Amino acid sequence: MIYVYAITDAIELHDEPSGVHDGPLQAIEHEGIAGVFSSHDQLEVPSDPELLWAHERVVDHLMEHGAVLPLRFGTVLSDPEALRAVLDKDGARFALLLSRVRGCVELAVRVGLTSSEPGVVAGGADYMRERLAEREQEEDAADRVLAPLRPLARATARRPVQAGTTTVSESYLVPRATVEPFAAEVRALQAQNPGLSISCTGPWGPYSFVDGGGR
Amino acid sequence: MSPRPGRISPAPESPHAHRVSPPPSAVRQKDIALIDLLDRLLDGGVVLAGDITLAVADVDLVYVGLRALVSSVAAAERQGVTLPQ
Repeated sequence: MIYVYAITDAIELHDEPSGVHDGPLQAIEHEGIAGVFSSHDQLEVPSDPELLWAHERVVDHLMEHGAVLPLRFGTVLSDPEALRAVLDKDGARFALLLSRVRGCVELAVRVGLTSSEPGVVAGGADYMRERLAEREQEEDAADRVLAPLRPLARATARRPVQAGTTTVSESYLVPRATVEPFAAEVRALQAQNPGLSISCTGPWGPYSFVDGGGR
Repeated sequence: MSPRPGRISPAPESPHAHRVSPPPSAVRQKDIALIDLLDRLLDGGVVLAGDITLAVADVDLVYVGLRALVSSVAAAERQGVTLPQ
């Protein structure tokens, strides 16, 4: 079986890293679009950080040579022919998505929400209402803080705040040449908002910008 | 930070009983990078249709564990408190 990392218009591999479980990379091409994979006799891909980084390392390398659509972690096909069939069937969709992300990387920004210490614990329902109102205000505040970043990005994707977490997370599709100005803007926002904790990671493959609208 | 007169046992019924020190900055950055990685690789990316197996095991467990970690990091920064397990 094969583990598939990405779809790309960079057809040839150069000095490529190894993939998951040290599998050597191979590519199969169909009408100018390639699928990059490694072959394995047997394959288990627990979401181990080492394997996750191996996947991302391949995507990162491919992005140096062309436009890349990273696949979701854990995509396994029976053989290269199955991948060729996917390229044949979905080639037009992939070409469109590749044109959207070409020349861009994804940057991830998190804003730590400023929820207050629940010092006075009122009755349950009142407390929950207060917390919900507080959460909405916090999200609005995070929105205002992040607003200056959006003009620097070609596209923006907001992740829903997960239950039990305290951060707002947003993804930005940013032209490579804009990565430094973007990072400088994040630093400026942090300096202007010392009460918030703002993080920025990347560049990542454009994972949040490859669904073609509707997942 | 003022020194404490000794080890204080947290009240077991309080969800905010476990006080932690904020982790060193480098560790925090690494944790944030890891959860940003998880967000992207496990929840983003192209999903192929058709004859495929998503062979990912124990995703939820790892994911929830890391979310709790990031929550606790953020909480620790604000108030020296972790979320309940």
